[in-house]
Amino acid sequence: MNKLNITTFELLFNYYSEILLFFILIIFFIYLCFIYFVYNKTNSNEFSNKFNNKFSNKFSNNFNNKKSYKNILKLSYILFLIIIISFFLFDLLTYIDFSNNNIIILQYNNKEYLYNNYGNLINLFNKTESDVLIKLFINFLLIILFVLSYDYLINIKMFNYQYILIIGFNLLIINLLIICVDLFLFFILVEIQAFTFIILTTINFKNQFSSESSLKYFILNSISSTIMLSGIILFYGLYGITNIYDLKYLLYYLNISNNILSLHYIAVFFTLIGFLFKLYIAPFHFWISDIYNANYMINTVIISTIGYISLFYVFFKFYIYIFNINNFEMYYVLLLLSLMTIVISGVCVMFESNIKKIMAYSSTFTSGLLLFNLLNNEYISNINVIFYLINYIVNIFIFLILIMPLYINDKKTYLDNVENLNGFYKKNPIYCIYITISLLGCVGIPGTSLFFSKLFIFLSSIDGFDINFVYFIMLCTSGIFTYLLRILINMYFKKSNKFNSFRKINNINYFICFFLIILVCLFIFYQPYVYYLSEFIVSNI
Amino acid sequence: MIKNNLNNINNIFVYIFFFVFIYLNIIWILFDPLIGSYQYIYILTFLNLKMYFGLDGINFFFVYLTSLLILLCLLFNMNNKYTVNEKYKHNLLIFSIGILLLIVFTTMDFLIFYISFELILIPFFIFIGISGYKNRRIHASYLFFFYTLLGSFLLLISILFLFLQIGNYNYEILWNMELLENRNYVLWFSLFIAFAIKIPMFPFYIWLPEAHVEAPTTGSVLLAGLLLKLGSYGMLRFLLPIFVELNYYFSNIVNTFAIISILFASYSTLRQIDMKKIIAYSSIAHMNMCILGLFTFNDIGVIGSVYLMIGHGIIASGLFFIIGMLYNRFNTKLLYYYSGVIYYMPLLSFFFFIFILGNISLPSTSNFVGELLIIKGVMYLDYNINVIIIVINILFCTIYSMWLYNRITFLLPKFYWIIINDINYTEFLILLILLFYVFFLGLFPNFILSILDTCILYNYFYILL
Repeated sequence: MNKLNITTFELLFNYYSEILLFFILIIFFIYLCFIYFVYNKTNSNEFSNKFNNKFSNKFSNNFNNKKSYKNILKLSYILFLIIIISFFLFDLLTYIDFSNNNIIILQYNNKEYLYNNYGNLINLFNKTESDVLIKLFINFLLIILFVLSYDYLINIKMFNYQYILIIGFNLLIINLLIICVDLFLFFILVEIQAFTFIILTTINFKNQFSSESSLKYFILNSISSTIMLSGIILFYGLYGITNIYDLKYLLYYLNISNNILSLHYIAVFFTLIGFLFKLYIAPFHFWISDIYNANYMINTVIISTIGYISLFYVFFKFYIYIFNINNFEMYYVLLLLSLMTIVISGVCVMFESNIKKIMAYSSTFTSGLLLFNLLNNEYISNINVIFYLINYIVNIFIFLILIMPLYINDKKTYLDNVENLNGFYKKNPIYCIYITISLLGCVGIPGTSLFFSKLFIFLSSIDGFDINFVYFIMLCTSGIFTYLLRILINMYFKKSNKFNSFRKINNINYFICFFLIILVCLFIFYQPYVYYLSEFIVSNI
Repeated sequence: MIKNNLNNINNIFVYIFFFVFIYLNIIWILFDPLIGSYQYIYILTFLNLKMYFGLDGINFFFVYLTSLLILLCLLFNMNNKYTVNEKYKHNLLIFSIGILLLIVFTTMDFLIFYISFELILIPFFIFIGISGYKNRRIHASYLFFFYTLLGSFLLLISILFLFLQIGNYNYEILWNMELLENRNYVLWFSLFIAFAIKIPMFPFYIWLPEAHVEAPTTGSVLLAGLLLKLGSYGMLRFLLPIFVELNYYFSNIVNTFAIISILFASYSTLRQIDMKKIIAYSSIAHMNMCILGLFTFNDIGVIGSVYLMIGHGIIASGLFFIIGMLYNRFNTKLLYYYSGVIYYMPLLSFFFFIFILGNISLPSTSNFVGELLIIKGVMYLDYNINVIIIVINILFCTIYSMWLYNRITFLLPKFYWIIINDINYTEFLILLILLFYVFFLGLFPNFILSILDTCILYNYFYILL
């Protein structure tokens, strides 16, 4: 097997960005903790009484009042942003060749060298071209989010060292999660990622819903993950392997489909339950609306876009490699579940007035639709799934970002109910038009970017399934359209409440939102390029 | 400055549609009545997309009607008592609806047909929602959006299915295909329901009177004149040429639903108080007459139904304009408050009388030709019940429309203490133009029939000239 001689150092070249990010975040963590430590010690009287040494005197002048601490936090926030941006640029410049119009050049694709014993790192992680693209996409979303949310974080008094650390930690784990190839490692990383989300839900401790929902999240997540773990253990017990490439080699190329044990189906079923829980498929969908509602808007943006896309991508990868094969028994169960999610989310949206819950149900709807198309088991339908996912994430991200800074002065709350938007058109027509454009995109009205992906998805599903299923899904999509109508009616037609007055929106927000809307509008005309990218992702997964 | 700019933009809208209207008039003169297929084809290339737009004998008159009615709506808004900002908004919405309607009627791709078919919902939804002061308008716009959205979903599925069968979105390939599977039945029903919602037929009719009452006058003109024709135009383009046998197979169902909706609409009109609702229900009855004509499988019946669509588009829009003029002066649409309009508005009551006569389909008006041809077409089929129903409809139509006219114009005026002017020059102009078309279509039908006849024979009866 050892035809090519490559040193481990050369193989590690692919993982430079992750390793660098890991070390830099550790340094950043120590730096922030040090600042917080000094700030606490200087402000507390006990410390100053006991030790009047030079150390405290030096820093006491700097940290006497809260302003100086906040200034340093601002600096550290900017530093964090610079770290993310620099890593984004690093990935962009190393992996994408702009001169030859090639999308990506990886130095060494590890699939070829997987069976050589170059260390455990290669068995656990494998970075492909499609991973890089998804990673770039996630980093891009994070940068826009954190440029815009500076003012928001100060307003909700969340501008802490803790918050920045949690987000940084989450970013690191998502970067590792996308690359990971091993089932055990995947389990560990998903647990850590879920834990960061749990902390994000509890951070709003004044709200009683948040503590309740975080507890709910914690307990339900632990139950589902234990089931998933038992499934993974069964895989290990049956085949002795947890790497997905090896598993595919076993299941597909070696002809063992005649000798498959019934335990195999139990293993697949158990692992799928864990996945379906994380993707809000129907029997496990009930928790997500509460968690979206209890969070601050910025956390819902992170969970609904960045968390969702990373988990779905990993599910997609694992589905293609493992669950795709010999799943005739699972096929009808998954079909039923996907149809169930579509119905439930379509019905639930009709009577919902909370914007976050509406978004939660719309994302459950999309996950049901995507699962339905994954069952088609064709190359084109897989491409359509990724195509729909990218378009949907872009549209929903922009809608949530536009809603995020709207703050009602007299109620002193951030906007969560649809009725708070009453008569918004007369107060801020430009911003209102931005919101409508993004909303039309979210629903997928013809002429927007999501329409094309919806068209392709329905084309492939008509081709693959019975036409009655498609009629059934189409009737359910009319439920999804209701939230568009409700928000439009509230913004344009209804009169505003007497005491509603919106806070002024920052110039930066206007500026960036304008560019985002232009990006969405341009996105419509460059759909072939996006389709090409999604095909690239599927072919190189 | 802003006012001047907005006025300039309003004028630009008018100029564009005026240009289109004159262009279409020239084309009508140059139109070859011996060619059944597409005569004028325009190809637009836009960002690697090639879009084909064509003018045919069938769609030409629909396009002509859109350009005429939108021009008149823009003219009507000139004199309406809006502020500058409001006027700009209304004109923008009318303009966008007009452009989309032109695209719908002229496309040769059925994907673009679907896209613009569904995109019309959004400006019209806003159009209903913005105007008016009642809270009922929100409910009306919601109903309008939802009923038509359900129809367009069914349309989307059937269009995708047809695409998978033929691998292309072109009409002319679509018309020459054959479907041999059992899924035809489902496909036929989905297409039929999609267009039946737009017409509207009996179970799906409730959105129309609601939308008519809450929309502004220009909005209801566009609804009655153009948006209802989308359904019948879709039937002309999709149902009739593709499913030749299935149409005959299901023609009994279609006829029964059409009969039910005609009877239901004409009975329910008798008890209405709102002026707009009367015309709305009468337009339901007239449009279902068109469907009776479409499913006669004669050239005469089909031609008559197309003729009736165009005639109804002119007469109903004229009636809605008159109601709008009355509403601008008195601020009510209820019949109870009106009487003796003839004493202080003689000109308006003259026009009103002629349009009412057109609604009854008196000889020498436009609707008469269409109804005559439909009755003749139905006679060939030996569906004698249909003939009776049409006759009953004509009888009821005379009753309610004459009743409407009597209530408004005659008796002593209730508002005798208010001094009210008769119609302006612009309003007079609008009504005069419509009046011209009513008599032109009624007295000289050969200008249209010569073009329609060859086209329908070519498309649906495979007679090559």
